[in-house]
Amino acid sequence: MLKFLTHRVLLMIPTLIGVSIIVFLMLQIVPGDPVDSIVPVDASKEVRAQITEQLGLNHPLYIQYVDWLMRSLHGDFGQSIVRQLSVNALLFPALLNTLILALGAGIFAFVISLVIGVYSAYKPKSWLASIGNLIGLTGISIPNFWAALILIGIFSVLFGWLPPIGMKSSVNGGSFADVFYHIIMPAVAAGMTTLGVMTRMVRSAVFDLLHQDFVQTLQAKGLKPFRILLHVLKNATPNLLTVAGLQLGYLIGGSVLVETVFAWPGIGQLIYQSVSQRDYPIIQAGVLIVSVIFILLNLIVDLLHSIIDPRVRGS
Amino acid sequence: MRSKKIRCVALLIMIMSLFIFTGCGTNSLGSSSSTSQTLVIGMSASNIPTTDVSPSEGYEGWRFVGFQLYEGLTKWNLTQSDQPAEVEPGLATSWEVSKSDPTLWTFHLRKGVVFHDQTPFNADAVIFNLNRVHNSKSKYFNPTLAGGLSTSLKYIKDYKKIDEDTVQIKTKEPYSSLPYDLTQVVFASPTAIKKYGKDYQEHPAGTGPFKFKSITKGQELVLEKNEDYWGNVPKLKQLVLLPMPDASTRLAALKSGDINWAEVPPSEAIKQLKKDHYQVLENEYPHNWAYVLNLNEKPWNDKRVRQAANYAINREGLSKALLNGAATPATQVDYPGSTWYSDDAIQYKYDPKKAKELLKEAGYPKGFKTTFMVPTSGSGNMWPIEMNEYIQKNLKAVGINVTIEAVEWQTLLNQYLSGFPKDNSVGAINISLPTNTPMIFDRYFSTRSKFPNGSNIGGYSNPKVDQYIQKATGTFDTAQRDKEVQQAAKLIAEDAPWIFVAHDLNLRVLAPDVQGFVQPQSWFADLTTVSINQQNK
Amino acid sequence: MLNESELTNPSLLSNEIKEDSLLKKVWLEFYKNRIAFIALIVLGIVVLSCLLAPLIAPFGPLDGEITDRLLPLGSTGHILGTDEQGRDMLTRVLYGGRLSLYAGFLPVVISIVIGGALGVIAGYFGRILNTIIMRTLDIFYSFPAILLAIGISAALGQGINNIVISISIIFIPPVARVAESAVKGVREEEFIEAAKSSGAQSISIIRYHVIKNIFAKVFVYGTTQISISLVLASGLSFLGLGVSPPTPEWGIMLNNLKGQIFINPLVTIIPGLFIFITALTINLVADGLRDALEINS
Repeated sequence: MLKFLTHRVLLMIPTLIGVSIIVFLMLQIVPGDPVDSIVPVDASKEVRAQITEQLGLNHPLYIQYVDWLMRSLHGDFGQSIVRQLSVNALLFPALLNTLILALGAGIFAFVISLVIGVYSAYKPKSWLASIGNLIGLTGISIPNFWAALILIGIFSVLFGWLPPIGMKSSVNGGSFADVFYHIIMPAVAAGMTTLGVMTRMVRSAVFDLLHQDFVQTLQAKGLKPFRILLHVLKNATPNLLTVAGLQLGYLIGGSVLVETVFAWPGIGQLIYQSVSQRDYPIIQAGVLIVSVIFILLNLIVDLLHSIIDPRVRGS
Repeated sequence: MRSKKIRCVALLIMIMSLFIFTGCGTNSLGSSSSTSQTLVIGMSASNIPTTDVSPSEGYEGWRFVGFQLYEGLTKWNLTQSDQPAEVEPGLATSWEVSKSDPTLWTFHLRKGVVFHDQTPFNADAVIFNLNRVHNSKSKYFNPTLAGGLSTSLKYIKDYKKIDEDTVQIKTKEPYSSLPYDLTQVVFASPTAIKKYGKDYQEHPAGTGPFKFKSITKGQELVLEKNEDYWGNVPKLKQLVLLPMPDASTRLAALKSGDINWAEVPPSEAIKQLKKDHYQVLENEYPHNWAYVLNLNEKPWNDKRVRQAANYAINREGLSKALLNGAATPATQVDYPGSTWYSDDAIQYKYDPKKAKELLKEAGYPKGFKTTFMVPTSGSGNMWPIEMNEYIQKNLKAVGINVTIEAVEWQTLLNQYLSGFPKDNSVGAINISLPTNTPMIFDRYFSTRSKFPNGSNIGGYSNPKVDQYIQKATGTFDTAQRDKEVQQAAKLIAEDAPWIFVAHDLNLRVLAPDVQGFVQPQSWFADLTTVSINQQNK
Repeated sequence: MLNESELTNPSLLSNEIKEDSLLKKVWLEFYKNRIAFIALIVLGIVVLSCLLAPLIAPFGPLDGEITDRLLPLGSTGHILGTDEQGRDMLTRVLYGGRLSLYAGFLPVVISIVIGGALGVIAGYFGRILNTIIMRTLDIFYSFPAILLAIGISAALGQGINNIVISISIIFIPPVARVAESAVKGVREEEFIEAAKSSGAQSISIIRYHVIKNIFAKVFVYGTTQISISLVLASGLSFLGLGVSPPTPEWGIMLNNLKGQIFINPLVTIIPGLFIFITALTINLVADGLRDALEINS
């Protein structure tokens, strides 16, 4: 197990270096001098030079990269250019908010997909299975930002039941109930794709397993259907886990559109805003952190996978 | 087959509703924001303005953060809605210009004023702050702030402390607009700056009616009333500022009760909001929603082309049909009723025929292509995308094919501050500019303010205009000054360095229980008189 | 260049005949799948009407009177209402679909060509080349797709073609993976061995044997990517990274109208509805195609 772990972690290192290089270089393509975005016209040459130096932009590219990487490794992502605040102070609260949303969306999608997926695998001709079909297809086809607008249209505009924006009430907000109340629509919208993918996945995985020999043996042995289901689920777990882990990763990195529509103060929205403001330090740190989380999540999934199914370790 | 499908859909909706209902029992919508004296403002900015003495996010940053936390020697009088706002004493109770030397100003400071951290305000504090933004050799010099304030500090040459309650400021030339400039040279507690250094932003301390309480980065800024304020102590207990760049989001938040003050909601909503007893406020003020044209390059270097563009725009259609009356047509820098409005200036009526003729005369019988850089939201930009699409169509009708390049507000502002791109890739920048002081004529239109020496980024130059402006800034006779500025305004309208489009009416909507606010003829807002009526609840 | 000796290769000939009939069989199977077939027809109608927009649209895409703005659904002359500038929604949707479909299909084609090539090279030549190519592509897997797309689009600037490029970049690694594993699968098969021993060049082996054998897999994978590409592209456009006004495109139309959700919700959702319907039918067709292929293999 330890060997497997070391092997996987070692493999991660070149990937991480690659990611950091891409993140760093991506912004070098962006046209325009970042100094322009802070220094007004009237500023003197000295002021310009001072700021250029402050940002370390006077050094060659590779030094800038190593410099940036070293500072990042120490957890120092520098100052936001536009907001003039430390990147950490902006990034980590936003990251937490995104994790909350991703978790909400994940729970919504996983629970429903599991129930419907399993049921429709058992009774493929039932009407619930047709709904499962519909959900699966809708989920993978619907643009989540559009789903978000429809939800707002129905539950905020038409009925006035749910708050259309934000994560908490502006005054005295922030209690669990308050956040829960605000998260419902964003979670449903963001979780839509995952719901679709997972429903299809669960259904086909369980369906395949149900038609395998061991299930028939178990049935012949006279096991109760519920116990059989547990066996089936146990066998389906490794695959489902992999997909679920990946999906959680997508939810963390991919809810930028939903965050934008609902004004959810998450990392996707932060990165997107920073992109339009050319706020390089935030973009770099944000994309880097999300990618690292993404990679770690994959690692965790692999580890869990190998614990449940030791055969994986060999490969 | 079909009924089965319908049943499926119905069930799907039921399941979803169930999921949602389970969450509903725990809370009731709205109402929360009105408890206690808390005003929650949905700003059009996409970021929380910075809290130092030169706030970001343009004038909206000044409106809600800068002028709430800080004050300068002078300040705007925002208590009247029936006349343009004027400058009044702030942290200086009075000032005079030396008879023998018109560049020498003496300011008598207000006594007994303390910063939010209880540091006393005095001449030393004034000098410390001026050094911080104007003296690159001083220990606490901050280049970013200095940059941000450079236009306000432009004509200040020197300054010194006379005694504890008196300072002297020397201007580079006789310059009567100094009191206007000084509204934006605001003062922060020297103790706080020294103590917190780089982290000052998180512990700002000024002398303004509100003081900093807390900030949730990227989400909200909370200010609370300054009990020790020397003027009218605010009735509100708290002020919560939320960045909401999307007009529909602000409307949504207002309707759900999450905010009780919404800046520029979609104008379509005005009718419904009025019906629902919201307070829909509008007033004229010195503001111009315009295109600053690049006069350095073809085709906008030709006056006839610029006039053609001005004739091509259907301002009535824009103000009335598109914006539901939330703007008035602009054909020169200021609005009728403003001190600097010229009565006999050229009037740009909607006249596409004349526009085409002018273009033909200028050598563009088939029109031309150009690119306008426009903001997507932000301070005073109203509803920029819709308005730009409308104008794009107006211009196309006379042969001017405009490509709209929409960028985020702060990005646009930065582009504006760094001038037109050298490659003539941008023909005009659409930006909302304040026209609230006589000095803006110097700033936007005089030859000496040509980029990179100032904000005249289009490169407009007219010696006659320069003369009027020079006379205006040099004279200390207010009536004389206004007359000179009007003369300049007339010539500027004729030369059309901008495409004048609209004057904003500062549309904002307040919840029914917000009282005491006066919508002034100014971009800025005095929040000390505002309170929340709790009886209506 | 055609290699004469290859033509006489019996395995190749029989292979070709098999494939011809395979196509027919797949089609028959697909035809039997009622839902997929209907989806194909709906998709065909949507695509065709968008392509033929200039002929069938009732107005010009930029025409409209500001006084007619935001007319509701079912207004006279404007079945789908009008947008915030008073332009006919139906017309805008039809014209807008052209760019949306363009941004949906093109990245898939590009990524199949480039990703397929990379995968084939990596899979066929193996060893170091494989490691270099596949590990490099792995790096791109570490970014959440939309974030990477936003980053690339932002770096390249606004524009529908930049969206196409950024989505293509995202799609290349998975296509390469599919192609690589498929190539690995066929590499050791007899007919390749036979070709190798008969002295054929690598390039022609790839051309005549490998590509043919992996095409189905990559193609099926590609069809499932189209709807993702469409949704992703309209999402980027929704964020304002795509076309600039007044050009219609579904994503940006939805964005421009979203402010009206509180005033005229039904008109607001129309552009999104078209994205949804198109993506849905593409997915149904892709599903049907996959099933049909599976049955036949």
